[in-house]
Amino acid sequence: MPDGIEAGDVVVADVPWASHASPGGVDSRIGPLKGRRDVTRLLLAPSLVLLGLFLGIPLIVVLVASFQPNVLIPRDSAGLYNYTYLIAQPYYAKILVRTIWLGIVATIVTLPLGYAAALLLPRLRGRLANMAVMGLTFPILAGPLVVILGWMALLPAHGPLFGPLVRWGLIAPPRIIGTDTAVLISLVQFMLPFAILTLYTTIKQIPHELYEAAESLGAGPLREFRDVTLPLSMPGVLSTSIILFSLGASSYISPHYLGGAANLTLTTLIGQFILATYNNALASAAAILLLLIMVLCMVGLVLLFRPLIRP
Amino acid sequence: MKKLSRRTALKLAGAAGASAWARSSLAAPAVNKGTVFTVSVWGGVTQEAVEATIGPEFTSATGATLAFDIGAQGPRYSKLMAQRASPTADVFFGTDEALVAGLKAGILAPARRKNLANLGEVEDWALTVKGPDAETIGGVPYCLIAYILGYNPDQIKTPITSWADLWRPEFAGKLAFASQFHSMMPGLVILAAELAGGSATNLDPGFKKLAELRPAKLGFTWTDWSSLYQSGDVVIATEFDCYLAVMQTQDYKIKTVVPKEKGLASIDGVGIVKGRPNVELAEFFLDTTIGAKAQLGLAEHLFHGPINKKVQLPGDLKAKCYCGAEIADLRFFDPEPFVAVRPAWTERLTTEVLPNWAAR
Repeated sequence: MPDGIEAGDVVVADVPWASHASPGGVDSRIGPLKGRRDVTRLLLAPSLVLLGLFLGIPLIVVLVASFQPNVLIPRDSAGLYNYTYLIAQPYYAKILVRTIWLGIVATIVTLPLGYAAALLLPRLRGRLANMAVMGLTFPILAGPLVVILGWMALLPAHGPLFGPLVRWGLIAPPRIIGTDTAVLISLVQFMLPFAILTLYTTIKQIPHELYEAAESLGAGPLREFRDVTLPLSMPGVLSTSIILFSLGASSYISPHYLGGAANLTLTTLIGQFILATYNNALASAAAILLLLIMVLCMVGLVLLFRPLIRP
Repeated sequence: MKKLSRRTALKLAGAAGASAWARSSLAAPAVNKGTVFTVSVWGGVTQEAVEATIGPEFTSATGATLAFDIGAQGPRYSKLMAQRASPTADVFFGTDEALVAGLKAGILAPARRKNLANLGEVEDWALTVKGPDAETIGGVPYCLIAYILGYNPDQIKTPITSWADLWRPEFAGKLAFASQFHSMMPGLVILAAELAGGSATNLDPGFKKLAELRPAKLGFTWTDWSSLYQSGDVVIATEFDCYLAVMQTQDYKIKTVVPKEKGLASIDGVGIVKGRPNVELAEFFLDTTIGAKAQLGLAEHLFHGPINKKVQLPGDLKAKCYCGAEIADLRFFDPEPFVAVRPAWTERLTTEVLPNWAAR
C-alpha cells in the first residue's frame, strides 16, 4: 500500500482527471469536468421529471386524501384520525404487524437460499450455466399470477402434492391454502430469482486476483469465503435485503390468493378499501402507513448492515 | 309441406328485414357511423351472453358496435368513480344496490321512462332502482338470481335444508362462504341475526353468529372455490343459483338447495353512466336488455331468471333458472337502506367477524 494511504481510504486514481487535480489551485481540466456534470444532470432530468410527475404528485394526492373525513369517520375538517383509527383498531394493528412480519421472514428465508445459488452460479459453465439462469429467471418472466395459480393447484389438502399422501393415510389433510405458510412459500419462490440475480452480479464483480492472493497465502475455501467473498458481497446483501423486504411487504397477489380473505396484509387491506368499500381516505392512510413502514425498515437494514460493509 | 321457392323465400326474408328495420328505425337513435358503445359488465359468461343476446339486435338497430370493459363489480365501480370527470363506459351492469349507490354518488344517471318502450313488460318486483322523479327510472333490472346453497352429495349424507346447516360442526373448515364485501352480505347478516334470535333491527346476535362460522374460503363467485371443491377441501358453499347451474353443466357433482328460510333474491340491472354523450343510445341499450327476446337469450345463456312478464321459459330451462325456486321461495330486500348501512356493517364484519374466521 503506498505511503500516506490508510486502509479504508477511497482511492480515486482510476478517475482520469483525478491525477491532474492540484490542491488549492484551479484544475486545467475543470472545464470538461463541469461539462460532464452538466451532461449527467441533463441525463438525469427526464427520469426526475417522470418521477416527480407520476410518483411525486400522486403521492401528494394520496397524502392529502389520507387526512380527509370519510363515511366511517365523519369529521368537519382534515386530521390524523384515519391513522389513529387504523392503529387503534386491534385487527388493523395486527394486519400492520403481519405485513412487517411477512416481509422480514420472507427476506430471512430467501436471502441465504439466494446467496447459496449465487455462489454456485459463477462456477457453472456453458449450456448448464445458461439453463440455470433461464430457469431461475423463469418465474419473473411468467409473472406472479401464473406462479400463484400453480401453488393454488398444488397446495390443497387433496391436491396433487398432498392428495396421494392423504389417500394412503400417511398424513392428515393439511391446511396450507388460506394460511401465512402458503403466502410465505409463494413469496420465497417468487423473490428468489431477484435475490440470486442481484447477489450473482455482486459476487461476480469480486476481483479474481483476491482469491488467488488468498490462496497463495494459504487460505482454504472456508477462509476465502469468510475473508473475501462475504465481506465484499455485503453491499449486495444489503441491496438484496432491501429489494426482498420491499417485494415481500408490498406483495398483493400472494396474500390475496393464497392468504385468503381473512388473512389480510396492508396491501390487501388497501385493495379492499379501494375496490370493495370505496373508502379512499382510509385506503390512502393505509398506503402511507405502508410507505412509512418500508422507509423505516430500509433505514433499519442500512443501519444493520453498515458496520459490516467495508468502504 | 309445400316447397318454398327461392324467390318466395327472398321476398319473405326481405319483408322480415324491412319489418325489423322499420321497428328499429322508429326506436333506435341515430348515431354516427363507427360509434362504439362501451358496456361495463362482469367478464366471462356474462359478457359473452350480453354480446350474443343483446349485441346483434342493438347493432343492427343502431349501427353502433359494442365494446366491453369487463371485471368484477367492485373494480368496475371504482373505475367509474375514478373516471367521474371523463368516463369511458356508457352503461354499467351491477346489482340493484350498486346502481342505487352509483346514482347517489353521481356516477350514474337516470333513464327517461318514455324512451323505454319495454318497461311496461317488466315485473313490478324487479323495479327496485327508483329514479329521482316519476318520469325517470334509476336503472333497469336485467335478471333475477337467487343466493342459495350447493353441496357435495357424495360427502354429505344428512340432507341440507336450512341456512342453519352451515354451522354444523362437520362443515368447519369445509365451507365456502361469501366475502364480507359480497353483494349478498347485508342479507346474510340479517339472516344470521334471525337464526340467532335477533332481527333486522337487532343485528348483534347476527354478527356473533357469523363469527362462529368456520369457512375454508371466502369469495365472490364460484371460481373462487371451485378448485377446492374439486379437491374435496370444500364440500358446501353459499352461491348464486345460476353459477351452481353452470357448475352442473360442467359436470361438477353439486346438489342445489333453496333453504327453508328462503333463498336471497338478487336483482341485477343496468344503469347509464353519467357524463357520456350517447344518452339516447344508452336508453335504447337498456330497452333492448329488458325486451323479451334478450331476456330469453340471457336465460338460455346464463340461467338467469327473466324479469320480463312475457317471457315463458321451457320446463327444463325454468328448472335451472333460480334452480327451480319460485318467486315465493325467495326473499327480497330493498337496496336503498343497504346502501346506507353497508359501510358500517362491512367494517363490523371486517373487525369483529373476520378475525374469528382467520383464527380457525
